Amino acid sequence: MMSHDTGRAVSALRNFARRPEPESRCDLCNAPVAESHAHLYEPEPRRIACACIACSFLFPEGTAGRYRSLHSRATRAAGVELVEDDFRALEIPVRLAFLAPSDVHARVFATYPTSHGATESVVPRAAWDALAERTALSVAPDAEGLLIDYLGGRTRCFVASLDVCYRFVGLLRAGGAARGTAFASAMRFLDGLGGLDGGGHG
Amino acid sequence: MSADDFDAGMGRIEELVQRAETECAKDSLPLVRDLVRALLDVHRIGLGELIAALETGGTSGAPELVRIVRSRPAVASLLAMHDLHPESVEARVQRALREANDVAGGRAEASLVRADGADVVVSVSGSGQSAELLVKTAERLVCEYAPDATLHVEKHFEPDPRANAAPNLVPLSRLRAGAGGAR
Repeated sequence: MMSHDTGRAVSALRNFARRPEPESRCDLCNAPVAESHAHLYEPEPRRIACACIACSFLFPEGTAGRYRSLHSRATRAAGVELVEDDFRALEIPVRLAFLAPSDVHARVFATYPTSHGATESVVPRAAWDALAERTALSVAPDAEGLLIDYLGGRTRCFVASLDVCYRFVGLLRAGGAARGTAFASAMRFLDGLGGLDGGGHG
Repeated sequence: MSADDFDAGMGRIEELVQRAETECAKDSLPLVRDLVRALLDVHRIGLGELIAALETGGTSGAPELVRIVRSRPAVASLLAMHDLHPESVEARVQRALREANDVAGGRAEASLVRADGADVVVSVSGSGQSAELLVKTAERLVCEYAPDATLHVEKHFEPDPRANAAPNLVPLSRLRAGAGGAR
Protein backbone atom coordinates (compact mmCIF):
# COMPACT_ATOMS: atom_id res chain seq x y z
CA MET A 1 0.00 0.00 0.00
CA MET A 2 1.31 3.43 -0.88
CA SER A 3 1.33 6.26 1.65
CA HIS A 4 -1.63 8.60 1.88
CA ASP A 5 0.52 11.51 0.70
CA THR A 6 1.63 9.59 -2.38
CA GLY A 7 -1.95 8.56 -3.10
CA ARG A 8 -2.99 12.21 -2.88
CA ALA A 9 -0.16 13.22 -5.25
CA VAL A 10 -1.17 10.53 -7.79
CA SER A 11 -4.74 11.78 -7.61
CA ALA A 12 -3.66 15.43 -8.01
CA LEU A 13 -1.52 14.65 -11.06
CA ARG A 14 -4.26 12.58 -12.72
CA ASN A 15 -6.82 15.30 -12.11
CA PHE A 16 -4.50 18.00 -13.41
CA ALA A 17 -3.80 16.11 -16.63
CA ARG A 18 -7.46 15.28 -17.21
CA ARG A 19 -9.07 18.56 -16.24
CA PRO A 20 -10.47 20.41 -19.23
CA GLU A 21 -9.27 23.93 -19.71
CA PRO A 22 -11.52 26.44 -17.99
CA GLU A 23 -13.83 28.30 -20.30
CA SER A 24 -12.64 31.62 -21.62
CA ARG A 25 -13.94 34.70 -19.83
CA CYS A 26 -14.27 38.36 -20.66
CA ASP A 27 -11.27 40.18 -19.21
CA LEU A 28 -13.48 43.17 -18.38
CA CYS A 29 -16.66 41.74 -16.83
CA ASN A 30 -15.63 38.09 -16.30
CA ALA A 31 -18.65 36.79 -18.22
CA PRO A 32 -18.08 33.48 -20.05
CA VAL A 33 -17.26 33.94 -23.73
CA ALA A 34 -17.44 31.53 -26.62
CA GLU A 35 -14.27 29.93 -27.95
CA SER A 36 -14.49 32.37 -30.83
CA HIS A 37 -14.80 35.81 -29.23
CA ALA A 38 -13.93 39.47 -29.67
CA HIS A 39 -10.71 41.11 -28.54
CA LEU A 40 -9.84 44.55 -27.27
CA TYR A 41 -6.43 46.18 -27.45
CA GLU A 42 -4.88 48.26 -24.67
CA PRO A 43 -2.35 50.54 -26.39
CA GLU A 44 -0.57 51.67 -23.23
CA PRO A 45 0.59 48.24 -21.98
CA ARG A 46 0.22 46.87 -25.55
CA ARG A 47 -1.94 44.02 -24.38
CA ILE A 48 -4.81 42.06 -25.92
CA ALA A 49 -7.91 41.46 -23.78
CA CYS A 50 -10.65 38.91 -24.43
CA ALA A 51 -14.09 40.53 -24.50
CA CYS A 52 -17.73 39.49 -24.49
CA ILE A 53 -19.99 41.00 -27.14
CA ALA A 54 -21.44 43.60 -24.76
CA CYS A 55 -18.03 44.88 -23.64
CA SER A 56 -16.63 44.89 -27.17
CA PHE A 57 -19.43 47.28 -28.20
CA LEU A 58 -18.34 49.73 -25.51
CA PHE A 59 -15.07 50.45 -27.27
CA PRO A 60 -15.50 50.96 -31.02
CA GLU A 61 -12.50 50.43 -33.22
CA GLY A 62 -10.63 53.56 -34.17
CA THR A 63 -11.57 55.53 -31.07
CA ALA A 64 -9.09 56.68 -28.47
CA GLY A 65 -9.26 55.36 -24.93
CA ARG A 66 -7.93 52.66 -22.73
CA TYR A 67 -9.43 49.84 -24.80
CA ARG A 68 -9.97 49.62 -28.53
CA SER A 69 -12.08 46.98 -30.18
CA LEU A 70 -10.29 44.89 -32.79
CA HIS A 71 -11.98 43.54 -35.88
CA SER A 72 -10.05 40.37 -36.76
CA ARG A 73 -8.70 40.62 -40.24
CA ALA A 74 -5.66 39.95 -42.37
CA THR A 75 -5.09 41.21 -45.88
CA ARG A 76 -2.27 40.15 -48.15
CA ALA A 77 -0.14 43.23 -48.86
CA ALA A 78 0.50 42.21 -52.43
CA GLY A 79 2.26 45.43 -53.40
CA VAL A 80 4.87 45.20 -50.67
CA GLU A 81 8.15 43.82 -51.98
CA LEU A 82 11.08 43.79 -49.59
CA VAL A 83 14.78 43.60 -50.25
CA GLU A 84 17.69 42.70 -47.98
CA ASP A 85 18.48 46.39 -47.46
CA ASP A 86 15.07 46.88 -45.84
CA PHE A 87 15.96 44.41 -43.06
CA ARG A 88 19.33 46.10 -42.52
CA ALA A 89 17.61 49.51 -42.30
CA LEU A 90 14.93 48.15 -39.98
CA GLU A 91 17.68 46.39 -37.95
CA ILE A 92 15.84 43.08 -38.03
CA PRO A 93 18.26 40.13 -38.10
CA VAL A 94 15.78 37.47 -39.27
CA ARG A 95 13.38 37.28 -42.17
CA LEU A 96 10.20 36.50 -40.24
CA ALA A 97 8.82 39.40 -38.24
CA PHE A 98 5.88 41.45 -37.06
CA LEU A 99 6.01 45.26 -37.15
CA ALA A 100 3.53 47.37 -35.22
CA PRO A 101 3.44 51.18 -35.40
CA SER A 102 2.12 52.90 -32.28
CA ASP A 103 1.05 56.52 -32.00
CA VAL A 104 0.60 56.11 -28.24
CA HIS A 105 4.27 55.19 -27.85
CA ALA A 106 5.49 57.18 -30.91
CA ARG A 107 7.44 54.12 -32.02
CA VAL A 108 7.36 51.18 -34.36
CA PHE A 109 7.88 47.90 -32.57
CA ALA A 110 9.32 44.81 -34.20
CA THR A 111 8.92 41.27 -32.89
CA TYR A 112 10.88 38.39 -34.39
CA PRO A 113 12.12 34.94 -33.40
CA THR A 114 15.60 34.39 -31.98
CA SER A 115 17.27 31.40 -30.37
CA HIS A 116 15.83 32.61 -27.05
CA GLY A 117 12.27 32.88 -28.31
CA ALA A 118 10.39 35.92 -29.55
CA THR A 119 12.35 39.16 -29.18
CA GLU A 120 11.11 42.70 -29.42
CA SER A 121 12.93 45.83 -30.57
CA VAL A 122 12.17 49.34 -31.77
CA VAL A 123 12.92 49.91 -35.43
CA PRO A 124 14.35 53.20 -36.75
CA ARG A 125 11.40 55.42 -37.56
CA ALA A 126 13.01 56.70 -40.76
CA ALA A 127 13.38 53.15 -42.10
CA TRP A 128 9.73 52.40 -41.41
CA ASP A 129 8.56 55.66 -43.00
CA ALA A 130 10.71 55.00 -46.07
CA LEU A 131 9.30 51.50 -46.45
CA ALA A 132 5.72 52.70 -46.04
CA GLU A 133 6.22 55.47 -48.59
CA ARG A 134 7.96 53.27 -51.15
CA THR A 135 5.38 50.49 -50.99
CA ALA A 136 2.30 52.67 -50.33
CA LEU A 137 1.83 50.66 -47.16
CA SER A 138 -0.98 51.61 -44.81
CA VAL A 139 -0.93 50.12 -41.30
CA ALA A 140 -3.27 51.67 -38.70
CA PRO A 141 -1.26 52.55 -35.57
CA ASP A 142 -2.31 50.76 -32.37
CA ALA A 143 -4.77 48.61 -34.35
CA GLU A 144 -2.85 46.77 -37.05
CA GLY A 145 0.56 45.28 -37.71
CA LEU A 146 2.60 44.10 -40.67
CA LEU A 147 3.44 40.40 -40.76
CA ILE A 148 6.56 39.77 -42.82
CA ASP A 149 7.78 36.51 -44.30
CA TYR A 150 10.95 36.95 -46.38
CA LEU A 151 12.29 33.46 -45.82
CA GLY A 152 13.82 32.06 -48.99
CA GLY A 153 14.17 35.53 -50.48
CA ARG A 154 10.56 35.99 -51.56
CA THR A 155 8.23 38.45 -49.92
CA ARG A 156 4.92 37.54 -48.33
CA CYS A 157 3.38 40.29 -46.21
CA PHE A 158 0.03 40.71 -44.49
CA VAL A 159 -1.54 43.72 -42.86
CA ALA A 160 -3.44 42.22 -39.96
CA SER A 161 -5.35 43.32 -36.90
CA LEU A 162 -3.26 43.16 -33.73
CA ASP A 163 -5.13 40.15 -32.30
CA VAL A 164 -4.07 38.18 -35.37
CA CYS A 165 -0.52 39.56 -35.07
CA TYR A 166 -0.27 38.55 -31.40
CA ARG A 167 -1.35 35.02 -32.24
CA PHE A 168 1.50 34.96 -34.75
CA VAL A 169 3.92 36.19 -32.08
CA GLY A 170 2.64 33.50 -29.70
CA LEU A 171 3.78 30.87 -32.18
CA LEU A 172 7.29 32.33 -32.22
CA ARG A 173 7.79 32.19 -28.46
CA ALA A 174 9.56 28.84 -28.47
CA GLY A 175 13.34 29.11 -28.57
CA GLY A 176 16.21 26.62 -28.53
CA ALA A 177 15.54 23.21 -30.06
CA ALA A 178 11.87 24.04 -30.51
CA ARG A 179 12.68 27.01 -32.73
CA GLY A 180 12.32 24.99 -35.93
CA THR A 181 8.87 23.85 -34.86
CA ALA A 182 7.95 27.44 -34.00
CA PHE A 183 9.03 28.57 -37.46
CA ALA A 184 6.98 25.82 -39.09
CA SER A 185 3.93 26.73 -37.00
CA ALA A 186 4.32 30.42 -37.88
CA MET A 187 4.57 29.59 -41.59
CA ARG A 188 1.45 27.42 -41.44
CA PHE A 189 -0.31 30.26 -39.65
CA LEU A 190 0.59 32.65 -42.47
CA ASP A 191 -0.51 30.06 -45.04
CA GLY A 192 -3.93 30.09 -43.41
CA LEU A 193 -4.27 33.87 -43.33
CA GLY A 194 -5.26 34.17 -46.97
CA GLY A 195 -8.90 33.46 -46.24
CA LEU A 196 -9.17 35.42 -43.02
CA ASP A 197 -11.41 38.41 -43.25
CA GLY A 198 -13.59 39.30 -40.32
CA GLY A 199 -15.01 37.21 -37.50
CA GLY A 200 -13.63 36.65 -34.05
CA HIS A 201 -10.80 34.35 -33.19
CA GLY A 202 -10.16 32.84 -29.79
CA MET B 1 15.80 5.26 -5.14
CA SER B 2 14.32 4.54 -1.74
CA ALA B 3 10.63 4.57 -0.86
CA ASP B 4 11.23 7.85 0.95
CA ASP B 5 12.80 9.35 -2.17
CA PHE B 6 9.79 8.25 -4.18
CA ASP B 7 7.35 9.74 -1.69
CA ALA B 8 9.38 12.97 -1.64
CA GLY B 9 9.30 13.06 -5.45
CA MET B 10 5.56 12.57 -5.48
CA GLY B 11 5.18 15.30 -2.86
CA ARG B 12 7.20 17.61 -5.08
CA ILE B 13 4.96 16.75 -8.04
CA GLU B 14 1.84 17.54 -6.02
CA GLU B 15 3.32 20.88 -4.98
CA LEU B 16 4.28 21.74 -8.57
CA VAL B 17 0.83 20.80 -9.85
CA GLN B 18 -0.76 23.11 -7.30
CA ARG B 19 1.64 25.91 -8.23
CA ALA B 20 0.99 25.42 -11.94
CA GLU B 21 -2.74 25.72 -11.36
CA THR B 22 -2.47 28.81 -9.20
CA GLU B 23 0.54 30.65 -10.64
CA CYS B 24 0.60 29.91 -14.38
CA ALA B 25 -0.66 32.63 -16.68
CA LYS B 26 -3.96 31.86 -18.35
CA ASP B 27 -2.35 31.38 -21.74
CA SER B 28 0.51 29.18 -20.55
CA LEU B 29 -1.43 26.71 -18.37
CA PRO B 30 -2.77 24.74 -21.37
CA LEU B 31 0.83 24.30 -22.57
CA VAL B 32 1.92 22.99 -19.15
CA ARG B 33 -1.07 20.66 -19.10
CA ASP B 34 -0.26 19.41 -22.60
CA LEU B 35 3.34 18.77 -21.53
CA VAL B 36 2.20 16.77 -18.50
CA ARG B 37 -0.27 14.81 -20.65
CA ALA B 38 2.41 14.03 -23.22
CA LEU B 39 4.83 12.85 -20.52
CA LEU B 40 2.19 10.68 -18.90
CA ASP B 41 1.20 9.26 -22.28
CA VAL B 42 4.70 8.06 -23.15
CA HIS B 43 5.11 6.59 -19.67
CA ARG B 44 1.76 4.84 -19.98
CA ILE B 45 2.78 3.31 -23.30
CA GLY B 46 6.12 2.11 -21.91
CA LEU B 47 4.62 0.70 -18.73
CA GLY B 48 1.82 -0.94 -20.72
CA GLU B 49 4.36 -2.74 -22.88
CA LEU B 50 6.30 -3.82 -19.80
CA ILE B 51 3.16 -5.31 -18.27
CA ALA B 52 2.20 -7.02 -21.52
CA ALA B 53 5.68 -8.55 -21.66
CA LEU B 54 5.33 -9.75 -18.06
CA GLU B 55 1.92 -11.25 -18.70
CA THR B 56 3.00 -13.10 -21.82
CA GLY B 57 6.33 -14.13 -20.36
CA GLY B 58 4.92 -17.06 -18.44
CA THR B 59 1.89 -18.34 -16.61
CA SER B 60 3.00 -16.67 -13.40
CA GLY B 61 3.14 -13.22 -15.06
CA ALA B 62 -0.18 -11.78 -13.85
CA PRO B 63 -0.08 -13.16 -10.27
CA GLU B 64 3.54 -12.04 -10.04
CA LEU B 65 2.49 -8.54 -11.00
CA VAL B 66 -0.15 -8.51 -8.26
CA ARG B 67 2.51 -9.65 -5.79
CA ILE B 68 4.84 -6.89 -6.94
CA VAL B 69 2.26 -4.09 -6.65
CA ARG B 70 1.23 -5.29 -3.18
CA SER B 71 4.82 -5.24 -1.94
CA ARG B 72 6.07 -2.18 -3.80
CA PRO B 73 4.01 0.96 -3.22
CA ALA B 74 6.01 2.96 -5.79
CA VAL B 75 5.08 0.50 -8.55
CA ALA B 76 1.48 0.39 -7.35
CA SER B 77 1.13 4.16 -7.43
CA LEU B 78 2.64 4.47 -10.92
CA LEU B 79 0.40 1.76 -12.33
CA ALA B 80 -2.64 3.29 -10.64
CA MET B 81 -1.72 6.67 -12.10
CA HIS B 82 -1.84 5.17 -15.59
CA ASP B 83 -4.91 2.94 -15.12
CA LEU B 84 -2.60 -0.07 -15.40
CA HIS B 85 -2.97 -1.50 -11.89
CA PRO B 86 -3.53 -5.27 -12.17
CA GLU B 87 -6.28 -5.21 -9.55
CA SER B 88 -9.55 -3.50 -10.37
CA VAL B 89 -10.51 -0.24 -8.66
CA GLU B 90 -13.48 -2.07 -7.14
CA ALA B 91 -11.30 -4.80 -5.60
CA ARG B 92 -8.93 -2.25 -4.10
CA VAL B 93 -11.77 -0.12 -2.74
CA GLN B 94 -13.35 -3.23 -1.18
CA ARG B 95 -10.02 -3.96 0.52
CA ALA B 96 -9.82 -0.37 1.80
CA LEU B 97 -13.38 -0.57 3.16
CA ARG B 98 -12.70 -3.89 4.93
CA GLU B 99 -9.73 -2.30 6.66
CA ALA B 100 -11.73 0.82 7.53
CA ASN B 101 -14.56 -1.29 8.98
CA ASP B 102 -12.05 -3.21 11.10
CA VAL B 103 -10.86 0.09 12.54
CA ALA B 104 -14.45 1.16 13.24
CA GLY B 105 -15.00 -2.04 15.25
CA GLY B 106 -18.69 -2.36 14.40
CA ARG B 107 -19.71 1.10 15.65
CA ALA B 108 -20.28 2.20 12.04
CA GLU B 109 -20.11 0.49 8.68
CA ALA B 110 -18.91 1.39 5.20
CA SER B 111 -20.06 -0.57 2.18
CA LEU B 112 -19.60 -0.30 -1.56
CA VAL B 113 -22.76 0.80 -3.34
CA ARG B 114 -21.38 0.66 -6.85
CA ALA B 115 -18.17 1.04 -8.81
CA ASP B 116 -18.53 2.39 -12.30
CA GLY B 117 -14.98 2.42 -13.61
CA ALA B 118 -13.11 4.95 -11.49
CA ASP B 119 -16.35 6.39 -10.05
CA VAL B 120 -17.00 4.70 -6.72
CA VAL B 121 -20.00 5.23 -4.44
CA VAL B 122 -19.63 4.18 -0.82
CA SER B 123 -22.34 4.19 1.83
CA VAL B 124 -21.43 4.88 5.44
CA SER B 125 -23.98 4.18 8.16
CA GLY B 126 -23.74 4.58 11.86
CA SER B 127 -24.17 7.22 14.42
CA GLY B 128 -22.35 10.28 15.64
CA GLN B 129 -18.63 10.54 15.83
CA SER B 130 -18.05 6.88 14.94
CA ALA B 131 -19.64 7.36 11.52
CA GLU B 132 -17.79 10.62 10.92
CA LEU B 133 -14.54 8.95 11.86
CA LEU B 134 -15.27 6.03 9.57
CA VAL B 135 -15.85 8.40 6.62
CA LYS B 136 -12.43 9.96 7.18
CA THR B 137 -10.75 6.56 7.58
CA ALA B 138 -12.43 5.20 4.45
CA GLU B 139 -11.46 8.27 2.41
CA ARG B 140 -7.88 7.97 3.58
CA LEU B 141 -7.60 4.24 2.87
CA VAL B 142 -9.30 4.48 -0.53
CA CYS B 143 -6.82 7.23 -1.43
CA GLU B 144 -3.97 4.91 -0.43
CA TYR B 145 -5.26 1.74 -2.14
CA ALA B 146 -7.00 3.33 -5.10
CA PRO B 147 -5.83 6.91 -5.82
CA ASP B 148 -7.28 6.43 -9.29
CA ALA B 149 -10.80 6.20 -7.82
CA THR B 150 -13.17 9.14 -7.57
CA LEU B 151 -14.95 8.54 -4.28
CA HIS B 152 -18.50 9.65 -3.49
CA VAL B 153 -19.74 8.99 0.05
CA GLU B 154 -23.42 8.58 0.88
CA LYS B 155 -23.93 9.29 4.56
CA HIS B 156 -26.70 7.49 6.38
CA PHE B 157 -26.09 8.80 9.85
CA GLU B 158 -28.35 8.22 12.81
CA PRO B 159 -28.53 10.71 15.63
CA ASP B 160 -25.99 10.02 18.32
CA PRO B 161 -28.00 8.67 21.27
CA ARG B 162 -25.53 10.25 23.64
CA ALA B 163 -26.14 13.68 22.15
CA ASN B 164 -29.78 13.81 23.39
CA ALA B 165 -29.24 11.96 26.64
CA ALA B 166 -30.01 13.83 29.82
CA PRO B 167 -26.85 15.12 31.42
CA ASN B 168 -25.70 13.25 34.51
CA LEU B 169 -26.43 16.23 36.71
CA VAL B 170 -28.77 16.38 39.69
CA PRO B 171 -30.97 19.49 39.82
CA LEU B 172 -30.00 21.83 42.64
CA SER B 173 -33.59 21.77 43.99
CA ARG B 174 -33.42 18.02 44.47
CA LEU B 175 -30.10 18.31 46.21
CA ARG B 176 -31.56 20.94 48.55
CA ALA B 177 -34.66 18.85 49.10
CA GLY B 178 -32.49 15.84 49.85
CA ALA B 179 -30.35 17.83 52.23
CA GLY B 180 -33.45 19.14 54.07
CA GLY B 181 -34.89 15.66 54.46
CA ALA B 182 -31.75 14.43 56.10
CA ARG B 183 -31.85 17.10 58.71
